[in-house]
Amino acid sequence: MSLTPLLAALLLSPPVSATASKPGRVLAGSKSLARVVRLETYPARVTLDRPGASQSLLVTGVTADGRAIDLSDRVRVRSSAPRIATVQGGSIHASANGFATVRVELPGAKLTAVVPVEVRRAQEPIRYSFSQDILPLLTKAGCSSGGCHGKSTGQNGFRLSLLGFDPEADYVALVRQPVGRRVCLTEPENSLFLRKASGGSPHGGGKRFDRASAAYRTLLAWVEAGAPMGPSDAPTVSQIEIFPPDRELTRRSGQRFVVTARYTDGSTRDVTADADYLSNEESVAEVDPTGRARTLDLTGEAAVMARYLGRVAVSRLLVPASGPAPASALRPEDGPIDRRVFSRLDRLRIGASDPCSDEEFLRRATLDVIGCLPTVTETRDFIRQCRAESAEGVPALRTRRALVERLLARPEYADFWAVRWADVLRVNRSTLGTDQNAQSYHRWIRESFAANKPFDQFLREIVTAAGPGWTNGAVNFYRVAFESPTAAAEVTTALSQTFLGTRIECAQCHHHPYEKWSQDDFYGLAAFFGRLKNKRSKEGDIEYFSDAAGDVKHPRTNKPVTPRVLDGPMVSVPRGEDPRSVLASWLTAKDNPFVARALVNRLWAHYMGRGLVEPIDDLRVTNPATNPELLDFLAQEFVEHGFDLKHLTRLILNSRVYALSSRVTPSNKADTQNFSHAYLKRLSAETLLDAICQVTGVPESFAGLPTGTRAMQLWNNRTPSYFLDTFGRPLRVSPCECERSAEPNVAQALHLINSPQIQEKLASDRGKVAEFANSGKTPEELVEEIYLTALSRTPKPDERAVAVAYLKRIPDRRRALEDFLWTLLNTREFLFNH
Amino acid sequence: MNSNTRANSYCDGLSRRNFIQLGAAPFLGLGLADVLRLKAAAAQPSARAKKDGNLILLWQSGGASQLETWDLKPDAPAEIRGTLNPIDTNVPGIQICEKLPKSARQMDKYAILRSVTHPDAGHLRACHLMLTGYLPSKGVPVGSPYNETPSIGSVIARETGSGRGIPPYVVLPKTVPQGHGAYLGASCNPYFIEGDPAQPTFGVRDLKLPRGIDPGRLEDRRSLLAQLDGLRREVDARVPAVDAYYEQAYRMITSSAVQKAFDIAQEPAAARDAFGRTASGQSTLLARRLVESGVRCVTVALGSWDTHAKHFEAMETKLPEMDQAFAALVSDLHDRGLLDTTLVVMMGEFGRTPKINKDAGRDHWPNVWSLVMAGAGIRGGQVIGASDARSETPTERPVTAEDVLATIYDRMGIDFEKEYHNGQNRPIKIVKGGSPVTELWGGKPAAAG
Repeated sequence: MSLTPLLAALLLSPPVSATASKPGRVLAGSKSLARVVRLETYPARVTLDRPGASQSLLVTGVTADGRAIDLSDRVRVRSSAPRIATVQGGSIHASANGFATVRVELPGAKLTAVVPVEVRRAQEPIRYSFSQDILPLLTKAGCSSGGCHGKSTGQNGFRLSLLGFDPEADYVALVRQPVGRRVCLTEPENSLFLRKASGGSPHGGGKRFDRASAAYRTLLAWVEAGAPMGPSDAPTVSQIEIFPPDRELTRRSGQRFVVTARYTDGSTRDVTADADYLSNEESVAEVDPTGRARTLDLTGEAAVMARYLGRVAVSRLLVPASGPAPASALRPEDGPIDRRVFSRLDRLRIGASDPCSDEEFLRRATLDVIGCLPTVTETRDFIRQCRAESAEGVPALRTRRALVERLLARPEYADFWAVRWADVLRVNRSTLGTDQNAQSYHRWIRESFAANKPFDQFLREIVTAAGPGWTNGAVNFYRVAFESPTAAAEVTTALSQTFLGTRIECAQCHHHPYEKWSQDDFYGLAAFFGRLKNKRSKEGDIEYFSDAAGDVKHPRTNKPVTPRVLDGPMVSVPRGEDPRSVLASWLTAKDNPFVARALVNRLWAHYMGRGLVEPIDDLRVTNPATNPELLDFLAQEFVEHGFDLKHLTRLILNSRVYALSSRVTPSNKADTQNFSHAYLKRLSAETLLDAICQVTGVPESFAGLPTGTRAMQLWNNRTPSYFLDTFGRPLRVSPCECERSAEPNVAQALHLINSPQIQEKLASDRGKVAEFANSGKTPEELVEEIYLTALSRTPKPDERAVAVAYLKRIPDRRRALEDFLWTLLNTREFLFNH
Repeated sequence: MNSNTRANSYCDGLSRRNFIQLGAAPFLGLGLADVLRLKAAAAQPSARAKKDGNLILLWQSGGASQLETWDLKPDAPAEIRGTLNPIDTNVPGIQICEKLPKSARQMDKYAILRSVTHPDAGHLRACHLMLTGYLPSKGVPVGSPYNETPSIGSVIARETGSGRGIPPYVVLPKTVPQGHGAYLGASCNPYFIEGDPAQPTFGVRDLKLPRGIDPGRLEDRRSLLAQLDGLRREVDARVPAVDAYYEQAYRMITSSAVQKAFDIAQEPAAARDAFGRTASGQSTLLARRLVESGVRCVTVALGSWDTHAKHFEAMETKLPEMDQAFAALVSDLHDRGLLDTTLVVMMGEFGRTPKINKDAGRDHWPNVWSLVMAGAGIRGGQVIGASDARSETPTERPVTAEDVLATIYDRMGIDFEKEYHNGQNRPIKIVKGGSPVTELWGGKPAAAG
């Protein structure tokens, strides 16, 4: 993290100071400071009921217009009774039992706040718990990070569990292992781990903390106390909370946090100093290791994660644009999607772009829903209907809605969505073993979309699939992991990433670093596949069935794991029954918290060019949606309408947000996450190849397939095609949609400009160019026809003039038309869905 | 603890993502390139660094074993030392693996670093570190092989450009992860050549004008496109790379020098034999051709070295191929007088565990490992740094990943402390906290790290 000197100075400045008016300070300006009318503290009252307890204090100034400014670093804090409670570094520390008040003053503003403090049990001896008192310090110091002792092989013979997920093993490694003498009870200060971490002995990881630090003192005191493991029934952390949970901030301003751990016995503890912090959007707000966030110069939202002992909590920081607010994008007629998107834009002070034209809508929707370009006839008809409905420039909403219905009913809809789902479900001939498996799998997906199978049913059929893969396409979901010694784990990973939008695979080996998921959660889910077995059928296919019994073993305990859904209780499945049907019922329940959200995010990302959550299959508390209200609404709508994909598609396509122009305004040109304008989407490999074939009138020939087969109809993603590979066709080896790439490269440019393949299509005697050249049409008519063919619109007057002049200048009509069509194929307008 | 036993692909799933087509960098305009070069020159790189140098990076993807290449431990127990023995080189006192006899005869032309060390044993993260100088900031780079800080080749592309109408940064014959331009923009991405140059059918696609198209006609088309691409200006603001790639493509198509550079068939048979008729050998030869023609950085992917199982079987074929390609390259560059201006680095993302595992493999070992460097002023015939008797830790002159990158940039005449602004407009140094291994060219050793 690189901080400017000024910023560094600010962060390092003593928290209790009266330097608010020093020139050069860029925290909340003096103007807004003058508007502060009230001070609020968090917590409002403090109870310290442990020996050595402390509580950090957050002081917020509230302005007349209700805005909140973090003043923790700018106030003067004093204790009325330092004998009972002292104030150091912005925290209140217990000294002796009794009552005190802490007085907070904002220098120069005559504003004060008073915090009552009660100290109890201050004199009791400290009873250490290794997992609750010691492990968090090692985690915070980075000892158990993935780059150091936390990696699976450890570091220099000392191995800790990643981020302390396995306290028992860590205790043994630190205290009990005879080698190394990491803990020295006779001479606590000579304990190797203390000497190394505090710079007293050479240490590859350098000095982690100072001898004067609170962490060092606690660790030393623990060794002096005999380095106990502590009571086995010590309360554990049940959750952590971060304050404030959300806040609106100006650019270049700061925000501190208070993080509180709640324990299983109901007690709480301030863990602000011992938590780890991470911002999910460092361009908007960054956060330092002490939990001070700082906004930068970008409009948007950042989620700051606090992590403590495997628990996470998130604070959302919103930074609106500076300057005057643009006109509100909200209209009275707005539907539920529009209201949620446009209110957010208003809140961020970002303006929305104008509506797109009817022609743009036609091209955009056709490409998005069925992956094809509209034909010339379709375009002409559509424009005629639009003009019959409304004047040029006024969106023809009825005609657009009718178009969406027609598109949803087209057979190409199923082709298109079969390809997209075949990507993430990994219809991959080489991993599936045989052509029959891949074909059957692809066919099952395609038919599901052709029939608009409710998504819950689609999911249930996959999860409970049994039988031979050649006849039951869905069972090939399991065939992907066939013969893998960790098939249940692989299936769990694929299932959670694809359908739960959760990358739980981290928890296969260790506690998920940014989530609450542990190995127990991962194997609880994997255990549903414990009875899934396979055998070779008479025909030579692999047949899957649920055995009477079978289990999945926990890698740490090597004991069978009882099936358990995420956040759910253990499930005991009677012998002879298939645990997968229990899993399927959970997955398809209306209140499943994962499935619908993951699906609507995926669909939204497809139509809008960006997910509400990115990456689209990594939904978690610590990676929140840019518009959570919209994500919730879409998920709810999807479930309430019977998991109907076409309903959801309609809802999105008929929104005003979907039909915004891709042309940006000064106010929204920097926006990449709030849908203020249509984001450009490069045509996918298959769509682009099919579009080129349609526009040139020359189909592609794929080896072994009938002429006229479109790229979108290929069941085998390894059908040889340089074009498809170059333009980012995925290999289908992971359940990640990110395998499909839209990144440009020079090979793509060379191919479109200069390949024999494209030139042959342009020059073919049976192609569109030959047909146009022989049609007897005038140059003006030809230019219009070719614009409609390639770009689904009529040319603008200046474009028409340039193109007609070109056709007239080149005597060879066929050659001139080849050049002209080549030109349109190489425009950005052709390459992108805009 | 280690459950990774798949030998032929990365154990953490990296190979899954090799599908990504790396892009290519456009030519920077001469004016801009000059400005950048002046800036780089003003930064005063250390003595004898050649400005406008070239880099050939022979990339041992997956991590090659130090114990079977440059740092053998004949006195270690069998479960560490393995089955291969050291041999003498043409420099007295320096021994390398017996499977590298050709390299042994060129020892006077390159240096061995035996104390490279860094903290990360995961492929993606370690590749990110060794190829960009930084670990990815948000844990594992999720879902994509794209790097968040620019790769070495991308920085070179940005800083030196190419004066001869050829992409400044080329990757072949397979993709290398974390090789992208990141916030330097897609224009600093590599031009990726896929295919085995050892095959007679090898050719770079779409470079020659198709039948029926002559340069005049291409020019007609191009100028018509310039007039008609209405969306272009608007799109370019958001996806600038598309236009940059078109510019570059036109130049490649229209330059006969570029056409020739990519045509490995123009090499005499003797030269082709010398490098070995293997994908690695011919790719290395093509790399030399490209550097001669103005490419500034060529990364050659020397196959996978991620040998968690049957390690010694794999070495039987991998080492001779590598040996021949590397030795031929160093000797050929030397003979052509190109070694002074061309830095050759052969490395992977880490080394391999000293202890042979139950599958007769070696696992990931970033703690101490070796790499070799030649050219660009580096004094050959020396060994820098040392590891302990069990190849577990550096015992002398630890060299960090940042030091390795600082060394490379220094030799390329690039000020590695220069700051770029990332997508969020934050200044980020090319390398943070590294210093060049100046002993390589006879400088004083830097203070021990």
